[in-house]
Amino acid sequence: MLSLAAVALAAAGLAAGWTGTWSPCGFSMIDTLGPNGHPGGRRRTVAACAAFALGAPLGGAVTFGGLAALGALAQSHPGGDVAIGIAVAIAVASAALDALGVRIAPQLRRQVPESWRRVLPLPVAAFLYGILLGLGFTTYVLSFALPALAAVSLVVADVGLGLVLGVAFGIGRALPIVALAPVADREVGARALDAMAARPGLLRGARLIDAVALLAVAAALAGGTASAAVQQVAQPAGLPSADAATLAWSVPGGDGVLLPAGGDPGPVGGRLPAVGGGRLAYVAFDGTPTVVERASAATVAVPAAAGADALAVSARWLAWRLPGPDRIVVANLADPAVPPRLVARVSAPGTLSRPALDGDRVAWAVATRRGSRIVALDLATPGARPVALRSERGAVLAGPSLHGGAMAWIRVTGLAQELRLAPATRGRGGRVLLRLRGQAGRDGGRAHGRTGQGRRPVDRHGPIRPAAHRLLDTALDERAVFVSRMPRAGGEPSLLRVDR
Amino acid sequence: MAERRGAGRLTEELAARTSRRGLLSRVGQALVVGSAASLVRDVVKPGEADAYHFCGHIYTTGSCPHPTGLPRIDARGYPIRARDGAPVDDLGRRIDRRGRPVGEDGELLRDPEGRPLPVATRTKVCDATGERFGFRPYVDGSWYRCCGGHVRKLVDCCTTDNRRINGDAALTGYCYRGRKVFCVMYFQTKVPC
Repeated sequence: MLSLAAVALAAAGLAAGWTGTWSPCGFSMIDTLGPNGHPGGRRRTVAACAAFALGAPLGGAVTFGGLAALGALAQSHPGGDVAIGIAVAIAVASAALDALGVRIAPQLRRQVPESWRRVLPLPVAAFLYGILLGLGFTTYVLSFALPALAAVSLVVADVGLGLVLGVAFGIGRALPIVALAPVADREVGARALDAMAARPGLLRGARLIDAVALLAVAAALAGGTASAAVQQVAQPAGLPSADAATLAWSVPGGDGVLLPAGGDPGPVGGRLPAVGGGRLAYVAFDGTPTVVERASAATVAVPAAAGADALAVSARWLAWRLPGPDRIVVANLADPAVPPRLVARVSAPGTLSRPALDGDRVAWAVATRRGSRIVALDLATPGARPVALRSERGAVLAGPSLHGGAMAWIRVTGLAQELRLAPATRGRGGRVLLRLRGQAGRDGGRAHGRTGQGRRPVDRHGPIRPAAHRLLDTALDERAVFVSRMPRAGGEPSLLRVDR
Repeated sequence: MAERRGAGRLTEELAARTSRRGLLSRVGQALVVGSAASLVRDVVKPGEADAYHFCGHIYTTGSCPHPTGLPRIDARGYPIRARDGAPVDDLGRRIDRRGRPVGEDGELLRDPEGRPLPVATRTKVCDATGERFGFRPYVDGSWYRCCGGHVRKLVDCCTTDNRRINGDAALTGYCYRGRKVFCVMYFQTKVPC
């Protein structure tokens, strides 16, 4: 699902692309692709319009996706508060300029090559024209929204957002042309073109729409920053688990805590609590794993899970981890006659994370000396095999949690600890909700009393201290991600809430 | 300056002890010996190179990426911490013999429930560099210098490419078979010098 920022950027891109129709190249495209612009008739117009509609989003994706990628490469903390603040300021300033109808300056007094329509087959030329116009900065700019959105892409440095924006910009570029070119030889087309050419109020209106869209971008980005505020929920607290605004956590050496939606925190009556699917699971003080139906308070002991040191529960399943070597076992709560199923095992010193359940899907992280990965398995499909959702060498992927098709997890590299959120599908990357320094720190890359020449760029600011906390486990619900952390210097673990 | 004063004293002593012809002959011999010494001194560079980012390294090629900064490696090329030689994983965490992260006291790092923290990969520094920059890495020749009172082995991470980690043209360094230095590492021995 697209975030609010993505929707706002897409709308702004669409509007900015649409406004570009008033450029000399926009008008030229309507005439060139239209039935009067070539001898090929309406069929060739349709083919050329289709090709143009393909090329423009491609060009947009290159410009805005490329700028975002460039920003990500150039910034040490892409998407940070400072970057978002700059992006918001750019969007607001440009919105003001567009709303006031300020003349665009400096102007790009360039146009796409006219000769292409003569020397190339029209659909090919149209495809290439589409790419050039989609690129945005190859011809006259009609709105401050275009440079503003380019700057926002660079500063926000989120390639996904950049691509969404770029494709939307390309669609905005293509739509009026694709709509008007086929009817350019008819009365309706002629009237539309005449109005565009003769009524400045239309362009003024388009720029006003650009301004509103830019303000929406600013609001979405600013809101995104505020919603990413981090708040400590409890201490001491670890191993968080969330289900429909109900939160549970573990207290080292003590009774687990359950915080119902709108209620007060209370003891669970056991250790290692987990919630999910309307159920609560915990390890009773006699060591017996127990599942409670929260609505009816019906309690079921699951002796098969004895020895578990971590639990996860959903409406139908109970998953637990056994130590030494680490194994993950799953039992069907709906059919207790079915023996529990071993779904994962790893030899020491490799480790498995606490399992995470969402409906019929169980996920866990594997960390070995060969690499780290997050694996998911569909328990409802007989014969289904585990699928690696994320896999990485040189990083530790830890503490995954699932909810409603989304996944939160912790990614630890030498430089950073990140709380990430993404769809629970195979892929790469994910939105960074929280970033701390690495767990180990760095020595600055040069020996005492020597020059800095030759050290790595990451060391140019001198030694880097390790983070004060280590991120450990996550929990996920509709609105927030919870992450447990432990002080590096020792002490009680605590639980943070980070809005999604 | 100290050397010149020493040479002045020597010639004065010679003059006081010998005849004029003998004095000229001995002064001539001393000048020849002095010139030869100077020539040798020019050829044999100091064992420690002071102008670069770590001792022993005598040119501008940058460090190989290392989990904790300075590119110190063990005898097999795995990363160790520069300040104390402690083995570290790819995250820069100090580790035990089984690769499990440990604290400064050598005790296992554990989560609040007492479980060890997850292990990470530990990759040879040159191999990790090759992975990261997309080339097949080679560790070819090396050279030893005296650094901080101990012998240090300077090791080049070599590539068949012509570019080095700095982004400009690579040098041959200690690499061979046409390979060139991509980045540099070092192994600190305990041999006094």
